[in-house]
Amino acid sequence: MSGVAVIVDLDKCVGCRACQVACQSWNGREALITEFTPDFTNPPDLHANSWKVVKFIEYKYKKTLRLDGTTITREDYGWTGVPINCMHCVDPPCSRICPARAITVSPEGAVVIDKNKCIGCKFCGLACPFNVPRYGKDGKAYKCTFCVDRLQAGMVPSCVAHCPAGVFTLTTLEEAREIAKDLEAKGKVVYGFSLGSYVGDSVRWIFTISKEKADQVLPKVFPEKPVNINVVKETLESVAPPIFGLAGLAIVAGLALAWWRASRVGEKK
Amino acid sequence: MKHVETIELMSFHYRLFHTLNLVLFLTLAFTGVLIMYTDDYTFLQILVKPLGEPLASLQGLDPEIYAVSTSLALMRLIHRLIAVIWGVVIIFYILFLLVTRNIRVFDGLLRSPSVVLEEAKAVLLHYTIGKPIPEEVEVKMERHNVMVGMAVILLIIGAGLLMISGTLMVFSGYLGITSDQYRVLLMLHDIGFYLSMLFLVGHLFAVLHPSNLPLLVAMFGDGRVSIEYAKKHMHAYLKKIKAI
Repeated sequence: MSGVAVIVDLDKCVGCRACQVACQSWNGREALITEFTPDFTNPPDLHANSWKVVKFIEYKYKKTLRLDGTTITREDYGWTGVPINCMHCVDPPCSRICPARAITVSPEGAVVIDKNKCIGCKFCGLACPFNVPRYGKDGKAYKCTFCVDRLQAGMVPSCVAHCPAGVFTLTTLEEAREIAKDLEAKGKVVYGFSLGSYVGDSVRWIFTISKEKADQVLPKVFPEKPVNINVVKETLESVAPPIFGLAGLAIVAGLALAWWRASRVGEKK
Repeated sequence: MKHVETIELMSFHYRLFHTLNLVLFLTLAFTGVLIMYTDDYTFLQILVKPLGEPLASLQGLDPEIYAVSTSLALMRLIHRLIAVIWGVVIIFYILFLLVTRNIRVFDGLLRSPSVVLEEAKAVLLHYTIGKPIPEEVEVKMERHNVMVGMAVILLIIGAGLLMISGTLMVFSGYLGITSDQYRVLLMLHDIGFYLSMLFLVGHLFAVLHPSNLPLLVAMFGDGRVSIEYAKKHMHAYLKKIKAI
């Protein structure tokens, strides 16, 4: 599988939101009015004008103090920043469902919405297992473009370039897989591979985090296994044309028979 | 020329409503199918492209790239506008029927289950294998046979789902509807559409059947059928209105 990928090391994130601002700035998005939320996350979620948001997730951990030969262990709370944006699925369901073919995958693997093609039907948002596409005042869908314009100019995405803590590592998907294996061997948890066929097995934004935090942080941000959330709709959509096609043929055949029979009865009379 | 005694079965307002309903529903179905299936079927793209090309050019977009999506955006707009008109027409007509106490379509169903079943069986056998309707069933037949009543119930469920889910989706922004709720609404909209299409399939079969040709002609003509025909197909109704 070709194309780029980004390894996101959540243990390095200091929550400075430089990535968020860099994204906003590079993509020329309007500033949003800040609002209070129960944590530091601001804006509270992805938005048509905020394609990258640092979520602040609280977790519990054990803190040990050693004082004069005595060890005191107590529970404490910490938080970790989780910079979220479009995961850029290898086989994006949003692109598959878009009736206007407005969502395409670039040669680099970036999943990009063509604003001029978007008809605002919201199907992409309904298909996305990560709840990424958001709708602007014009009704059209907006989301992270993986800075495809920068990628194609030989640059790294804006958020990657501006992170002061080195959270993001831009690489290829193959290399990312190798890096992930190494990290797992070192005791880290990796999210982004073996996610099932609905997203093409993997995404291009791969998150890693230490084991003690993983169980408390990852489930609050990502689904364990992205599944087809439109299974009923999609099943109906795929079976309806052949069923109604057959029904149409049955009608024609039934009517032909009825008219033939009626003409025979008329002849007999 | 032989004089044929006729009776008006379909009033002007009935035929007008039916024609309006036909045009509006088919427009909604057509635009809805395009929105749902254009991505999957190339022939639909070929169908919508000619309309989208000039529209894309008008917007300063490359028609080669944007013709299909521009056309679909227009279809979506038409779908929403027609849906509003359809909703108003249907609500108005239902109110009209309720006020004038003129709902006849369920008369056949409002009888004992054995009579209903007997008529359903006779009508089905008549339409599918051409077996004549027994005389004892014929004399009990109302203005609409029981199969019509059942089909209308299917239509009410389908159209109801379409209208309620469609209205909620259009106003989802104002109503604060979440993505999960919207997803369910869209699924209900689809189910409503498929149920309505099932009705349409049955309705098309019935109206194009030779037994119902006089009704089809009446619907798109003067609304009248011969008394002889009506006696055979809605005997009990004619007695009720003292036409025989």
